[in-house]
Amino acid sequence: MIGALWSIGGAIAFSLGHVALAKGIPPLGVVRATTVLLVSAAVATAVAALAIDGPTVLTAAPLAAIAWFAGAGLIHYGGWGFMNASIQRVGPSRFSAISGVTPLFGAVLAVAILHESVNPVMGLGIVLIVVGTYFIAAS
Amino acid sequence: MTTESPGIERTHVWGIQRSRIAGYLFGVATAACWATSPILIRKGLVGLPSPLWGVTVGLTVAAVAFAMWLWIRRPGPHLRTSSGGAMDRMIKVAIGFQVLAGLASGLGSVARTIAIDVAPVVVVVPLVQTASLWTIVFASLILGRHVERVTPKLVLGAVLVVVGAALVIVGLEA
Repeated sequence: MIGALWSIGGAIAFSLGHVALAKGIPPLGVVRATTVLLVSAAVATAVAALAIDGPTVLTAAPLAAIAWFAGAGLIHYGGWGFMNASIQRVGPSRFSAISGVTPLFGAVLAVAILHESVNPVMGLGIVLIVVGTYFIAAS
Repeated sequence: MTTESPGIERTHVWGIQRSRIAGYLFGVATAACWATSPILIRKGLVGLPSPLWGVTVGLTVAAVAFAMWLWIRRPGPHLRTSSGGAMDRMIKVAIGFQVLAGLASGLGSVARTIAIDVAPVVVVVPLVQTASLWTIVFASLILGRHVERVTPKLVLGAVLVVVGAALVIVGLEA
């Protein structure tokens, strides 16, 4: 139950963030808006990391682990640039709905890299995502 | 006698508004980035078993990269300043909204991390995916219905994507 509440809380926080972006992006432009967004999010998570995990975990970590996270950050949060460009053009509701296709790419990567097979449940999910995405784009 | 017909511009491609296609493609590109990063995150977690510090490192590196892009390329729009050099009020408000969005996204990341720590992924991911439905509600309430046009097709599409995503996650975990 507590896990479900944290999940829904996270979903609400993300959605409020998307709506706030729609107000902030137009006067600033995508690159400037993304920079401000990243800096403020980095400060927020650094405070949370210091409070919850403490600094020792980071200082004791090998450089390779930090490099993996740095690479992941460039890809994931570089995606925030695309997110802002999308919100600027189609608005937060349509962006948020379209970004729901993320698990579809996850499934494609699992099949391509980990050689997992597509079971009937995944297949049905993929069909629903594709049909839903078309409805969003054509709405 | 021949008459020249005026050029007919196609406004829709397969029922999708042509001017919005780039926006949807950027949305799909975002999803591709978000789906790819967990591969590197898994490798990083082996040496740094703290998702929170991992997120912080990733955000900091991306922030530095974007700041460098901003500094070198100086992309538009150029910010208007008053004669004294003070920032335009509209710019200050926009920065405020970006900071709010950053704090909300940071809070969302922390909440998701804690949720994954205390509940199975098959429960957490579909619930976090409902963000798109919440956005439809909040966007029409906060931005106004004249800005965010919520249509039955949009709501149906968002519901189908959330259910489809949940099924893919359940299928992957099976």
